[in-house]
Amino acid sequence: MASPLYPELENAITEILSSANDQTREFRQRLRKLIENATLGNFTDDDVREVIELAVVDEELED
Amino acid sequence: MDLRVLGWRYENIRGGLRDVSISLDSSPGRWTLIQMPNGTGKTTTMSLLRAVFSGEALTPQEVYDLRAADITETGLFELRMSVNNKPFRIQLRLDFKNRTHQYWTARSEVRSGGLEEGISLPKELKRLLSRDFTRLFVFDGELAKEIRTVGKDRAANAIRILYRLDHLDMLNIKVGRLVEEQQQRSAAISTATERRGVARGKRQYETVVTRRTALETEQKELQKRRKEMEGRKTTVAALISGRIDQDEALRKRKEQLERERQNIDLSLLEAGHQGMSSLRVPAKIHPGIQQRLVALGGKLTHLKLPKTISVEFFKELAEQQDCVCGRPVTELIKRAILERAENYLAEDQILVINQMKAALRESSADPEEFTRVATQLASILRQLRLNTTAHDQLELERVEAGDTELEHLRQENQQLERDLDTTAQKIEKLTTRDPARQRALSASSENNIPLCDIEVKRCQEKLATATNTLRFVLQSECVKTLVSKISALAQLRLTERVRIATNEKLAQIVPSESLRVSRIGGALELESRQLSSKTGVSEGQSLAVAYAFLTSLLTEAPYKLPFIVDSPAVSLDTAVRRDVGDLIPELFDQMIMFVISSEREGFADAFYQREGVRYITLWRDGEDVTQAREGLEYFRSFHQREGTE
Repeated sequence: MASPLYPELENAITEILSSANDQTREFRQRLRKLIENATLGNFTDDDVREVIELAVVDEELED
Repeated sequence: MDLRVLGWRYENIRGGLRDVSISLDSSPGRWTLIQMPNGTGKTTTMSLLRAVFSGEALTPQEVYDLRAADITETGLFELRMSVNNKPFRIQLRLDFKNRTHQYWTARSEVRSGGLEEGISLPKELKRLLSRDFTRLFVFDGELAKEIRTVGKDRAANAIRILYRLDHLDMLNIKVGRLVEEQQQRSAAISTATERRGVARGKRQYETVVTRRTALETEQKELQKRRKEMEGRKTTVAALISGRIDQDEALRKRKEQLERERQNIDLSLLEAGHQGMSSLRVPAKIHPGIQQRLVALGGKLTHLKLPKTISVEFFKELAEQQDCVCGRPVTELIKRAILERAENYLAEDQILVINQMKAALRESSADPEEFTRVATQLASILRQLRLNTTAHDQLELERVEAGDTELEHLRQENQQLERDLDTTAQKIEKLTTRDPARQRALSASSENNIPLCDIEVKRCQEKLATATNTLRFVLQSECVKTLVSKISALAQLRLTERVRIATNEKLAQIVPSESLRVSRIGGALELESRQLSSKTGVSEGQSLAVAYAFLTSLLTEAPYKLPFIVDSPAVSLDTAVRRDVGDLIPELFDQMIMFVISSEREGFADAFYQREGVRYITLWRDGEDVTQAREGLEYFRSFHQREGTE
C-alpha cells in the first residue's frame, strides 16, 4: 500500500531514521509506521508504548 | 480529505436576506461567481461561513446584529457541504430576542437523518477547522497583512496544521503522558527513576545480598559447631558413665535410675499424647466450655437456624409461571429472583451448618479429662526431676570420693550444655520464621535469614521497577527526540517548498516588481528592490503575496478545501488583476468568489470564456428584500445595468 505521507515528511523520516543507526531495524520500521498513523490521527496507547519499548538506550548508571 | 461547499441558505439575516437559498448542486462546479452589490450581505455571508465552519461562539451582540429587522425574533444560516462525498448540513440557529445561538448538524451517518446539536464533522476535519485556520480558505483580507506580521505566526502555524505536523506534536504529548503514567505506577514501589537513584538502589540491593550470604555462612558455622559439641557431649557422657561404673555400688544404683528413667520417659510420652488429644476436644478441657457448647447447640435448634431458604429453592421458583404468593413470574421478576438467589446459602452449605448444630447439641465428654491428664503430667515431671537429681548425686559422691577426672568431665559437660544452649539460641535467631519469636529475639533483616530474604526481594523489586522506569524514560526521550527532529526537518522542507512556489506565483502575478518572499519564519518576510521595509508594501502587493502564499500552501496539501474569497481583485491594479484572474482559478478544485461591479473588468470577465462556471446574482428588490437569480446572461446584464446606473 502506498504511503499516506507527502514527500517532505517521507524524506524527513527516512533521513532522520537513517542517522539513528544505533537503533534496530524493527524500531525504525515501527516508528515510521507510527508516524504515518499519527499523521492520520490513528494510533493507540499500546502502539506508542510498543515502539517506545523497542528503542535501544544506554542505561549506564552514575555513581 | 475533500471538503466541498454545496450551498447555503439564509432566514431573517441582515442585508435583506430573509429567505434566500444558494444552491451549488450536489456536484458543484469548479468556479462560482456570486455578484452581490454592496449592502446585500457579502461581508455577513463571509462571517457566517467562517462561523459555521469553525463552530466559533458568537457574542450576544454579534447575534443581535445579525437580525434582519428589529421585530425579527429568530434567524437561521444553514451551510450544506460534502466531506469525502458524504453530505453534511450545519445550521446556525439564531435567537435574536435572547441573543443566543446554537449549532446543529445533520449527517448521513445518523440513521434518522435528523439534526443533532453541535457540530458533528469528522474529528480530523473538526480539529483542522479552527477559527484562525478557517480564515485561510474563507479568505479574510486582514489575513493578507497578518501573514506578514512577525509574532503572529500565521504562516508557520498554517503549514504545521495543514500538513498534519501538529499530529506529531500530539504524538510526543502522548509519549510524555505514558511516561507520567509509568512513573506514577512505579512510585508506589520506588521513586528512583534517574540514573543516580537507580545506582543507589543497585548498591542497596548488593549490600543486602552480601548480608544474606554472610548470614547463611554464619548459620552453617553454628550448625557445624553444634554438631561437634553434641558429639563431644556424647563422648563426655560415656566417659562419666564409665567413671561411675568403676564403683560397683554406684553402678547398680545408676542402672536402677536408668530403668526408672526409661519408665518415666514412656509415661511422659503417653501422658503427652493424652493431653494433646484432650485439648482437641473442647468439651474435655473444662466443664464450663462443655456447658456453653451445649447451650449454643440448643439455641441454634430453638431458633431454627440457619433460618434461610436455599438458593436452589429460588432457582426453581424463577422457572415457575406463578410465585408462591400467586402473582405471575414475569421476565423482570425472574431476573430479579435469580440475581438475589445468590445471596442465599446452597443446600450443601446448609447441611454443614446443620451437622455443626447436631455436633454442638450432642457435645458430651468427660469435662474433667484434661485436668486429670495435666495433673498426671505434673507428677511425671516431678519424678523426672528427682531422677535427674539422683543421677547427679551419684556423680557427686564419686567426685567427693576423690575422682578428679570425673570432676573435670562434669565441668566440661556443664560448659558444653551452656555452649549448646547459646548456639541453639543463635541458630533460632538466625532462622526462625515465627513472627512472635522474631519479635521476642529482636530479630531483623540484619540477623535473621527469613527477614533478610524479604528485604532481598523488596530491594530486588524496587531496583527492577526503578530500572524499568528509567529505561522507559530514556526510551521515551529517544522517541520524542527523533519525532521532533523529523517534524522540524519536514517543516523546514515544506516551508522552503511553499516559499519557492510562492515566489514562482509572485513572478507570474507581479513580474515587474521583483517582489519575493525571502523567508517564512513565523511570518512571511519579503524582499524587493522597490521595498525598503514591509510598510512600503501596497494593498495590492499585499493581496498578491497572500494569494501566492495561500495557493502554494493549499494546492498541494493533504486536505482539499474550497477557496472562498470576497472581492478578490478589488484592490489590484488592472494588469495584476488579469494575472490573478488567470492564475488562481487553476489552483483550486472549488472556488467561490464574491464580486462587486468594479471587479468586472479584468477579473470576472476572464471567466466568461471558461466552461463549468456558475454565475449567481443577488440584489435587493423594491421591498428591500434580497433576491437571487442564476445564469451568466443575468449576471452580465445585471452587471451591465449596475455599471450604467
